[in-house]
Amino acid sequence: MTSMGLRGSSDRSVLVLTSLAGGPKHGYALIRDIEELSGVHLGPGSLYGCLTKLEEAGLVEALPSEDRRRPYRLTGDGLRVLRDRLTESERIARVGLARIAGGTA
Amino acid sequence: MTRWALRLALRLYPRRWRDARGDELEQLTEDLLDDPGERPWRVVVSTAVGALREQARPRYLTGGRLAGLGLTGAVLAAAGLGVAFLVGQGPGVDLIPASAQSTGRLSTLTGMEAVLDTQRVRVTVNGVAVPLFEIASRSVGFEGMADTHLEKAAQPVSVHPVPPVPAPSVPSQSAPTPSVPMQPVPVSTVHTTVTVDQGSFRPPVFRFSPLVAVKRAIAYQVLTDLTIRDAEKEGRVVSLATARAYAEKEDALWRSHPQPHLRGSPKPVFLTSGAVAEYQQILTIDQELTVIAGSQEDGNRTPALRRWLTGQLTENSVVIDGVPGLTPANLAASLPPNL
Repeated sequence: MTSMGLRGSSDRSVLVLTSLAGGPKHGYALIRDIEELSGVHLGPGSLYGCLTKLEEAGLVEALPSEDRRRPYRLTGDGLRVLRDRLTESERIARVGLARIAGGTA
Repeated sequence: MTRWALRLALRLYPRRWRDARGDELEQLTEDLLDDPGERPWRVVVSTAVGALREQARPRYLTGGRLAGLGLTGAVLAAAGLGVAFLVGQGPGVDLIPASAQSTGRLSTLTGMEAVLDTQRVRVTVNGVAVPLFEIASRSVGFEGMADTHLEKAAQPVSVHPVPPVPAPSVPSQSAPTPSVPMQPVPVSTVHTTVTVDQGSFRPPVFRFSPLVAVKRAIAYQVLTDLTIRDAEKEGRVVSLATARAYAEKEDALWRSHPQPHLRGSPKPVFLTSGAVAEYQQILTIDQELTVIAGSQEDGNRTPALRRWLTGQLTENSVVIDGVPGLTPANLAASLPPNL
């Protein structure tokens, strides 16, 4: 998945990647962290739908675990794609806010 | 009962997916159920909807296509029921009169009564129909089923009336008085009657959320069925009306959802952009299934089964959108600008 691919995906993918940017997490920790950082409550089906796609795209990877709570972490590609996406969002937000304020950006 | 439903939902995922991630997803759902702040049925519904999405993904459409087809049919059938909740007069579900039990035809949701037979429902979305297979058949794994089983599933469901029994001990005393005499319903012949009133249905601004409909209907339908199954397991017989009363009690949790667009209010709600996205996904899946049903290259089905599928696509259907020309694009365009 490229940054373009991520751009076309739902915001859930961005939330999952953002959460993992803070360190590896298993499913339950991801749900709670995403809820805390964004107020969005992901259900288990939604979360694993995202994780499946992100892992297939090489943006996250599963880590070995001794129990059934398998943690996931960002890959190098995932970090790059997330950085690109957030940078783009930041730029759009900056332009949008400037226009709202009557600027010319 | 919640855990039973979860196990069922988990089994709806493609087998390959379950082999790879089933254990960890199951662990996650258990963790969530242990969390007192979590709504159990939100976990169940999310898991079931996640299974639907996985079933519809191209990589799983070779081995488990028909399982996905059946699952999607189930969800869309539930959506039809949910739409009835939202645009009708309350839940509008009651014990089916004996005289109507042989009715296999589904009317469209255009202000008349629709009889939803959970064994034989077909749903049409934007003119595309999908059949509903027995959920139970997928719980034992579709891949091992022969076409003869499918043909058998396609036969009309026989109804075996059983004599009335004393009121069962299901945990809800707020059962509404049924409009027809209560009658025990065996698990294999659960029927649902839906009365639909489209008076508040005013296109092009849609005032219901298909997503809400799907989620509520799944919860409601599964709860009703599970209550009956639990009773049967314990050697009791429970009437559909009593099971419904229990389901309604659980369903009330949805109505108090803190997010308005997810709240199962019987009053119409506006679609949010998120709900539109979900609806678009449903339509995409539906279109995909149309391709599957018409495929001439699928080596996993016999010509007889293909013929049967094609036949089922053209009859016994219920239209859940009811608005000609509805597309994801004009649906989104019809939203109020402040959403």
